[in-house]
Amino acid sequence: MSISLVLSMLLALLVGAFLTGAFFEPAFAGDSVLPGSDALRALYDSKERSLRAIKDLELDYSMSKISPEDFERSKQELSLEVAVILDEIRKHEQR
Amino acid sequence: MIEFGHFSLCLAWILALVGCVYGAFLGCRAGSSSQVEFTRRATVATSVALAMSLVGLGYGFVTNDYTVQYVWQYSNRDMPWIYKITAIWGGMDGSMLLWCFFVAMYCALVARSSVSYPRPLRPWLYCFLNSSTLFFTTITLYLTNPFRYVKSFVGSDGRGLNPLLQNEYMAIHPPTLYLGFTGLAIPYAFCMAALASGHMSNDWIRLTRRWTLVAWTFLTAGIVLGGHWAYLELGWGGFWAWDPVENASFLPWLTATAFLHSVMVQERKGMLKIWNIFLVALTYSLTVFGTFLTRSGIVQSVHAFASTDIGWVFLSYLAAIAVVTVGLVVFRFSDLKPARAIESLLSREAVFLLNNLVLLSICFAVLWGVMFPVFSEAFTGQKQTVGIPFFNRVNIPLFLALIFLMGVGPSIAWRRSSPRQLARSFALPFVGAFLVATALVWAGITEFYPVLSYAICFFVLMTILSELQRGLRAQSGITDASEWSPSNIMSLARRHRIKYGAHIIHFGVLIMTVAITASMAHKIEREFTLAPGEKFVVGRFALELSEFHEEEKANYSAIQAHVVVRSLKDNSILQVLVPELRFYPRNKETTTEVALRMGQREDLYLILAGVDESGAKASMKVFVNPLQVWLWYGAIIMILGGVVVAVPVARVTTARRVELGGVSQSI
Repeated sequence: MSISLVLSMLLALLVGAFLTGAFFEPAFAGDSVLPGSDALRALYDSKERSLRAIKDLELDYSMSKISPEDFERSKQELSLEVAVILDEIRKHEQR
Repeated sequence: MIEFGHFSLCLAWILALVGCVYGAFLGCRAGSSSQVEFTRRATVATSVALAMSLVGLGYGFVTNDYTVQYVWQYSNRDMPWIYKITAIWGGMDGSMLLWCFFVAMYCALVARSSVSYPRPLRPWLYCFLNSSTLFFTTITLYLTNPFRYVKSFVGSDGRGLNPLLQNEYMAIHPPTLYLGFTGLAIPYAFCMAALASGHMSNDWIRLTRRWTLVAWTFLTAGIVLGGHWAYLELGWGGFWAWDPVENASFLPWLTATAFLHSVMVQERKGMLKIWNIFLVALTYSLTVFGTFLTRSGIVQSVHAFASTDIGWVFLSYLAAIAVVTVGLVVFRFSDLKPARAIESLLSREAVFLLNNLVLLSICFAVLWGVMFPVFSEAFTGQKQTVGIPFFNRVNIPLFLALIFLMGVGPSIAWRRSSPRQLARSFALPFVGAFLVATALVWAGITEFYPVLSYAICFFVLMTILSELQRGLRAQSGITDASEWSPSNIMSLARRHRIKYGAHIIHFGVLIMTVAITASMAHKIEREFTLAPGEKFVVGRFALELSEFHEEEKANYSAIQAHVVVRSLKDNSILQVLVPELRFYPRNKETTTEVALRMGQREDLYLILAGVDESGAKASMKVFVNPLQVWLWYGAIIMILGGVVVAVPVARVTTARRVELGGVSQSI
């Protein structure tokens, strides 16, 4: 038997065993968790974006990239946005 | 071992097919977790099979197995062993196999870390990851198989590798470039999986950005290494000739750079969703297009492989990518509406959008230049080529605009900024740039573009330093440390790693821009003939030919000239340069070996063009390239910046992440 044949058989066996192992694995933690509805996920994305926008705004302000007036106005707008999103999330989670 | 390599390739093809088809099946119908795991494992196993296939081919090269056509074609017994290894990717068939392995390796890395990804995304992700591997493996197995045997006569020795490729850069340049190209299949797979699964949260964006950065960093390194190879090996005194294949690597780099900027806008503002999908698909398409250019033979290039008839396969795949992308965008159109609009033109998102438009304009201009000979031949019957002047004329202003935006973007606030605030931020950099321009004109540099380029670079440098200073001031307010103390700097760098990593990249770009401007605008190029003992003066150097003689090496013969380089200032000897003219009898090819004196101020680049009929005089060509070495330094800084931004850092996650089953739902 040539070395190529032996190595080929060995590789096929190992790959076969590796693939079959998938059916003996316990379910993954990630898979057992509810992914959440699309609408809820979208709300969490919006919340994340708005919180990040506040963080960016504060950073820009601390680096004197925006005026105090613009900072106050934008922060109020974003805070209101976050409050509305959090309210929506709460309503979704109560359902 | 050749049979083993071939068997492994066949096995990889089957595994990729299974991963692709089964992934799509599970994406359409919710399968069990074991089935999804099976697809994930098939994705990982494909890379192992392809690695074994490469080992099989490599073994053929190392053991001089000339029964294999590819080994016979690209190696011979005299070649050093390192070139026998690099010969694996010296021709089209082996380079396709290496390409397949890299695609599969990236897919395996993604698959390995994908267990925690959102469940709806995963089957489709495996499907699209494997679709890339399947496409390239199909080509390798059925059209460019490197394991084919020689059909008739088996020679006792091979034909040998192209002498231009017998260079240490060939060990690292093509693999690095391929790692860049192939890595761009990952963002495409994520993007299509998100569209197909409907899991359109920010997860895919966050994951994609990191993989794009990894690929972008490799692509940057690959392009620069290619430039360095061309500079040292091709002997024309430059590093970039707007060659079609060079351009083919540059096109996806441009669109990937655009994506890396616009993705920040989507991540923060929920805008530019369709634009980003377009950029990701375009970037991947351009990598496939680059492969098509190199391997179809439709354009003439020093880098192109032999002309083949596999171009239609690539064109069909490009069409398939376009159809799938457009189809999925139309299908998910309602989910792709922007969360908000750009509030002000004086905002970072507006500048990023402008930056994207400039990058795409450069991309279009370069693409037009590449394809113009093909179009002109198709429509007029005559092939008309566009040369370096066209590319420079169109691209220089666009590049300068891009560099200018590089200074403006990071210094302007998100959402909106007031004109007064902008005036405060940019007044000093503008004044500095104006003073630099005035000083340069006063010093005698009067050409428009060089002066503009240096002034813009100074403007951007000032904005980067001002950003750093303002960041340190803000940070010192938090930590109570002094502004420029090492602890404050480290603390700032840790808190805003991506932001300052990007500044490192921008700083590298600045250094490169200055070097490119200097080497283009102030280059000296001379041709001369000398007999031993004669001198030639160029720049601040005197070149004296001391002798020239013939040398015999294992696989080539050479004529070497010994040129003493003296300083004009004090006549001291600076270096002895030895340019060569090599003849490879087996390949019947003559090449020039450049002699280079690399300096911080300038490179002295000497080529032996030939010896006259009497055999008493040597003809030479010399280039003095100012600040050339800074181009390579700038590139190293860029790559370091890419590494800083791309390397993941462990972050604290919240319970929300687990609740949502997402990648990371926390900020």
